[in-house]
Amino acid sequence: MKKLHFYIPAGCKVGCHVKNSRLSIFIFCLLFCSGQLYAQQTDSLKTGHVTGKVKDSVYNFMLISATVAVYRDADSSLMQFTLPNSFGEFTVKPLPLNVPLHLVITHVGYKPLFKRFLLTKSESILDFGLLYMYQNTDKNGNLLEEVVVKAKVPMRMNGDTLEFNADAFRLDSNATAEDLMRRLPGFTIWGDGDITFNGKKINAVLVEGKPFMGTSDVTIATQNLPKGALDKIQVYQQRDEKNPLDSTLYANIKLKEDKKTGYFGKVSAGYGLSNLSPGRDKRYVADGMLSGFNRKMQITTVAAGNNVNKLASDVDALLRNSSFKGEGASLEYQSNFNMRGVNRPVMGGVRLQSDFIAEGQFRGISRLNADYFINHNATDVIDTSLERSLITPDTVLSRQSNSSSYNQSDDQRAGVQYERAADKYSLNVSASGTINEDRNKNQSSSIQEKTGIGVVNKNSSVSESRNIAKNMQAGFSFSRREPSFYGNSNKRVPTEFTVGYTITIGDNSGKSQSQNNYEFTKEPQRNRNVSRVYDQRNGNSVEHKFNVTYPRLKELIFGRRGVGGIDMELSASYRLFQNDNNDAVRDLDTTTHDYVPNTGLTYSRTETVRDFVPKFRLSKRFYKGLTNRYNKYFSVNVNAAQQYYNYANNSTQAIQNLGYSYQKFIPDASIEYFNHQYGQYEVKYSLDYKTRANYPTVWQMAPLVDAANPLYVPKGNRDLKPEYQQDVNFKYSFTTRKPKNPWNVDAGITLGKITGNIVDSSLYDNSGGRTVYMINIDGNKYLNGNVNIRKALAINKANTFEFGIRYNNGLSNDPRYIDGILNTSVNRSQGGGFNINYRNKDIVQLKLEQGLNYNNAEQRGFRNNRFKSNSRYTRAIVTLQFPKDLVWSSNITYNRSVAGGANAINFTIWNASLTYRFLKENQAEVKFSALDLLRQNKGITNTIKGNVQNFGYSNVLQQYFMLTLAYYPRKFGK
Amino acid sequence: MITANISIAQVVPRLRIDSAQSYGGTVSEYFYSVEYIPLETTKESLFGDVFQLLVTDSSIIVYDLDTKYVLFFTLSGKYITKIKENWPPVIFYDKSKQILKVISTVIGTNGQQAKKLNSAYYSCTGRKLNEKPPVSLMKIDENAALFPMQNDFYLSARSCYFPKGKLPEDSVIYLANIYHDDSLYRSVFPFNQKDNPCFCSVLGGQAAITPVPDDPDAFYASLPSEYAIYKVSTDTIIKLYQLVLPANSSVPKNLLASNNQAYLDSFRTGRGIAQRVIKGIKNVYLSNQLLLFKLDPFGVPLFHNSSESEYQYNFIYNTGSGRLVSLERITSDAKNYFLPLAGSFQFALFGLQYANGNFYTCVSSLDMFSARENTRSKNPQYPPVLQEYFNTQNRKSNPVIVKMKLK
Repeated sequence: MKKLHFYIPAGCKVGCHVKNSRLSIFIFCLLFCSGQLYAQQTDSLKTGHVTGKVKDSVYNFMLISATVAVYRDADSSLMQFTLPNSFGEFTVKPLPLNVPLHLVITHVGYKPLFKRFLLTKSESILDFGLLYMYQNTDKNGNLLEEVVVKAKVPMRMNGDTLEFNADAFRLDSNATAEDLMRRLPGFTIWGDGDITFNGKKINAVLVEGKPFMGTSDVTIATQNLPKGALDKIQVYQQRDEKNPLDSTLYANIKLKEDKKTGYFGKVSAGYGLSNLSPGRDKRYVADGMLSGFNRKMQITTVAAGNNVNKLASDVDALLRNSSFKGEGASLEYQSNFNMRGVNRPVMGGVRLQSDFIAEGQFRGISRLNADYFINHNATDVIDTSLERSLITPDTVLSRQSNSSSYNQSDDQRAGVQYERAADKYSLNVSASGTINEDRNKNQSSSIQEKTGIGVVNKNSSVSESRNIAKNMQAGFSFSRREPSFYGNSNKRVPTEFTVGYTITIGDNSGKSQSQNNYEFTKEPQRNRNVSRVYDQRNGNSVEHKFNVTYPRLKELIFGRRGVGGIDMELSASYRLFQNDNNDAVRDLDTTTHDYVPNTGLTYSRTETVRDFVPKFRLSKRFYKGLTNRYNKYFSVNVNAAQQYYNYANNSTQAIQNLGYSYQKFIPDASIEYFNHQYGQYEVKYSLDYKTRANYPTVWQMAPLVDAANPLYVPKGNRDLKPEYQQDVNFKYSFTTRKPKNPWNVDAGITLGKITGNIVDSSLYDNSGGRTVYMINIDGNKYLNGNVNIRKALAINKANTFEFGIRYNNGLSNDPRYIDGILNTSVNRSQGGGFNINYRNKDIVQLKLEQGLNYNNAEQRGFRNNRFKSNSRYTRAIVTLQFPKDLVWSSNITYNRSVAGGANAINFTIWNASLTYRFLKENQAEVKFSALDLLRQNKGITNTIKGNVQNFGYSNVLQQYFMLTLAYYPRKFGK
Repeated sequence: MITANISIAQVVPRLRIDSAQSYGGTVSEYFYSVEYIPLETTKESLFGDVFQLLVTDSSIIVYDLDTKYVLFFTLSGKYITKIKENWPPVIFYDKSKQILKVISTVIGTNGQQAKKLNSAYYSCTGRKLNEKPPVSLMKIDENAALFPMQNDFYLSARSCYFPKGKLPEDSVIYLANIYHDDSLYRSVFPFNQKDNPCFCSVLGGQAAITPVPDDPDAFYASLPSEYAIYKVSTDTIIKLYQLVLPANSSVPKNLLASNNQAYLDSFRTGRGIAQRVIKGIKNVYLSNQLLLFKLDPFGVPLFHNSSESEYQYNFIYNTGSGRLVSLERITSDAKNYFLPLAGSFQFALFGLQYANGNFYTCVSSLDMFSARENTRSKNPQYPPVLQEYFNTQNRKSNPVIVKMKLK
């Protein structure tokens, strides 16, 4: 664990230092904040307090570093605690009346002082006067070795680390580390998972100086570790190596000596029914998580399976939702009612972290992380959709389709990463692999109508496919550092650099078959029936990526000084990508009833991409700071980069033999301004400009035409040029730095455009068929902005409010050609919402949310036709713990969406559950849940792209009831 | 060249210094007077913090690391002028001639590692002197710290320090050399880098020199880890006191004797050693029977006041009664208006400055205003200067100089 250190080089005769007066302010504030714990219920509304002064009995000085605490006699629970001021005076309040209490004063090196007392209505203020403390000496008067009185010293400054002693705080026997943090003065646990200390966000919660269970999610540690296993919670600031002006706040949980090994987990199974009538569907859920740790290693294993759309994408998500504390008001791992179809996922994974260097060594890390996750999902989806394409204001092509499909996917992912960091270098080696297997069966039919004509075509199809994609990646990154300190400037040639390499190998193989039937009402001569088999759709690819960076170019050329303090860096990246594809297609010949190779679609090709980008960077930072007042910096970065891009495609299909080379200048620049006014606020502005080029692929330039599909004929364009995208991004962020009731604002605006945007130019025939050319067009622009405001209000320790407001606005101009006429699709969207969270200790949690979204798409080029749609939702979540161990939870979401001229679609999803924890250590749980109680879930899609609007229904998960049993095995220490 | 032997006139008094047994008290008990001198805050004179403080007969001079200026104020705090110095300068005050010699560090523009030292001469109120300075101040030894004495003598303190990565040389370096004009008169404190690697790398390798108040011919010197106080003058060197620290506060013997450079290098940053271990003694003043000194800890001093014994740095030892008083343990009272006696950062790192019978330190405006907030109930009776300060300034104003007269 690296603590905040000020490097004073020995022998530096001028005494150079770097001060951090922010730390002194942070500590200063602490010294004047006393520990406020929630007041116990008392039999009268009035409370009292005690005052006094603490002094050394022999040496005539005030013990300003003592800790003064008041406990209840009956159960020795901590009531309040405080630190004396610089005069040694203290006041402990509020304290209950008519309750026997005792005062304990502790100080390093002194015998603790005890005083019993009782406050009454008539004597609610007690002044102890001058209290003398005696040094810890043996019988000969010699001072004993410093022994910090461990028993119940609630808080202590240990050098520049603030330490809270877990044992001093008495909590429920099943309390977790998070419950303890909630009780500690200065900590705020926000609804979205952030933890702040005196207003500043805690970046990570480490356990024994290391990340816990390989995750940066603080709740994994805080919601699983029992308070009883904790020795201390430490808070300290750590300098950021890259940005020495910034410091980040960390919390570290130290476990008790005998509790440094342990395991915890959750095993649960649930069974339910879709409704109470006959013919109902059975529902099941099973989840398991088991995590174990010792001084050097941490392992997590997770597994889950269900048929109620509960999906998790990685180990973290399953780990997070198996915490001992329960789900609380989190909706993360709930049935996803928006998913199409009924999904039956089975997931599992393992994660391992192993540290080879014991904690506490300066800059030494030697750590191995390994990860494996498997995800199997099977879905049955039934879709009904209506697609409307606007050709001219009076002419709309609408297609009504129905389809049913079965999808099964099996994804496996494994990875290993080794990290080693020392004084002079850091190394990162990693390897990972994925295997994805997809199986699909699909049956669909559609009818297309045109305004004024009626039905123009009908289509039905049946298809089946299977694809396996394997991917493997390995790479390393090595950085050499020159730890800089005074006196180490001998070297003429700076030798810092970073080099990295990654190789990615992919292998794809697939097979499929399909049957398609096309019927043209007005042109029956075009009717077709196609039966097709893809014997193979294979591909394999290899990609090499190299990069190298040399950050101290300026010193190399100009030496230690000069050039106005501007830094220069040189870097280069090179990417070589080679892809081989092989497709073999056969179509059924209706006369001979034989499958005959389709020469138009069968091919074998090799695609090669070479992408080389050398980059030269100039940067400068200006800094201004005044101790105890502020610190500000302003930095400017400019990157000049030139991209050399070479593309070649060689195919057995002659039209796909093509290649090109381009050189593009792709600069970027950024400006950042940061102003931190100590004790008041912190504000940051940043502006950046980025450019990139997007290159056309063979499928855009020379696509293969499927002669059997008359509804879609792609023509491509061999003369397509690359697109050039530029955007400007402005960000603003403001946070108050006062210890109480913080608020913050985040806002951003992005402005961009794409020159030579590669888009379709479509031509529609009378029977609904579409021929598509690709073109480069100018005029694509976009603008979007967003604002987010958050505020917390703590009325007292027990009651907290959080408010949030957000707003976003987007505008985009998307030009393309339809039937030869320039049509610019102008899309405007606006959205926003607000939320209010209220929490009363552990007992009540209430969240209210409102969201709104407006979309407006206008087709300019034809008398400004518009598609409008809007949607909104209102949500309320309530969790109530009453009586103890029984949790009532309910969440209701009202959804409403309106599209085009159609009727509004409303539905309300109401989920409720009742959870009871039992057994001595709350290790068992029984839960009854009812989901979509109102049985209103509808799967609705409503999208607009360009001139095409898509509106549809799918089958979705609906109401079900379930009973779940869970057990939390856990053990800390031997 | 004469190497003087240290003369031990009589038995050197051994003073037991145990910070756990140091006394405190109130300001009234130890000081005749405490005066607060706010430094004028204007757009031009606003600075960050007092990194170096020097009080002359006619000015208060402050170096600020944030704005990188040497600022000159009158003795009552009014702003005079400022000089830009990108690196903390070394300022020598020749009391007899009322001249300041400012040695600035300039990084060579040719990119070479060696820094150049430029010297310039100023009056005590910051006016640059163009006339030829007195002979005694002209001499410059590139790596030396220079302390002017009388009659064209001066003390040049050298360092036997070698940085990480450099090999210790097998030659003797004298930590204090007395020159008369151009020629070397006497040298004391010989150290050989090779024989004393710990002393010359981890411990800093230089003697701490403090001018003797009112005696321009003599200096107090002390060496790291030895904890002895010497008085060095042109012809004599006397060991005045031998301080004895508790075993767990002294530099570990195995570290001092070690020849394993890699092992020693790991302690260069001050990590790995307990907070209470003391490297050396600085800021020595002897006043009647009172010996004032500051302990220089190995690690980084704490930035807030603490009553824990490890965090006491500034002491007064009464050689008559044998009583040790810790300045950090002195509680403010009505005599200094219940305001802080010193800023903890300043105090811990730099201790007190002496000039003309008074001791000086400083307190930030942030601390002054916070203290005023917190002590309203004690009804402090502020003098007019402070009343005006509190009425017109705020917590972001310039720091305040504290001038104390010790009893």
